[in-house]
Amino acid sequence: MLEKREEVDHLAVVGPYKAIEIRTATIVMDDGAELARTSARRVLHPRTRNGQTWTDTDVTGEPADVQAICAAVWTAAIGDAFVAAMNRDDVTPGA
Amino acid sequence: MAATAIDRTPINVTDDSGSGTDGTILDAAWVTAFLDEIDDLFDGTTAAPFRFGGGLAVEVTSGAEVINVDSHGLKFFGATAQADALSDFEVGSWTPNDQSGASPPLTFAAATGRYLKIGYGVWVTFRVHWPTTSDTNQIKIGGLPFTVINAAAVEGGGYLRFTNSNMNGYTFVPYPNATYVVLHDFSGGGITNANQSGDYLDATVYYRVSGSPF
Repeated sequence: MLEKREEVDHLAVVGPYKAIEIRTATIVMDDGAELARTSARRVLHPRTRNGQTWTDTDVTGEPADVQAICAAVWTAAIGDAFVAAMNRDDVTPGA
Repeated sequence: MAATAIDRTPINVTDDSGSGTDGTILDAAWVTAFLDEIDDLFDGTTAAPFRFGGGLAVEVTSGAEVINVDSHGLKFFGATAQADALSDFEVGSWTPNDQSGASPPLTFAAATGRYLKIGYGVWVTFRVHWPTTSDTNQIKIGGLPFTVINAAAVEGGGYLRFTNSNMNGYTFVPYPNATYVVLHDFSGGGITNANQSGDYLDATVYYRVSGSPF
């Protein structure tokens, strides 16, 4: 029987601002044998921009292991430092 | 061929011909079974992967070393530095989103992306279609699949494949420690969401990822 499912198959905490890189695999199975697998990626940062305002990233819809990692590595200081880095806006061509 | 239990006990022999050389030989059945096991590894009969432990590296040589696999990844022709290792290969998809600072964030009319990561470098291709907007924030396309390296301004860049906008030039600047690219025109000014209102663009961007050793 054909079955399609998704699972997070790779997680990494990256860089000074603890970006959480998430790879989600879409897997097609036939009677228990894997027929195909594709990957999609996204990255979570400690703060999310909404207009000119930054708020703590909402992870309530994330898998439990992702939430646990976020809680462990995203301190207030990390979030503040991330926002400060994103607001520098000093990376211009030729700079 | 199915795996066969192997008796690894060597056979001790004594040379009685007067040469004075004694030693051990391998039983013919042992050799046959061993070769069968090796054959199984390559024809897929053995379900378990072939693993090396204890920090051992794997080398394939042809006179001189050709390939070396260690904790850094795959290295070629005697290279030893981590920076020279092929550490990863991956392809997949990502979804561009608006990081411009527009409030509320823009919802793109269409946004698709693909990536090809080789070692510490990643190429992303994408198409973004802007909604009709008068927002004047500089365009920042987010959602990149890997975090950009923490490095100076000259790291990475991209090129425009096609757009139906009437803008006269685009540069793409991957932002350090973030997952977005900033768009500029050829004079260094910012391209705004309003500049792309109702239009789309296709582009390719290359950057090095966070954690790169070089």
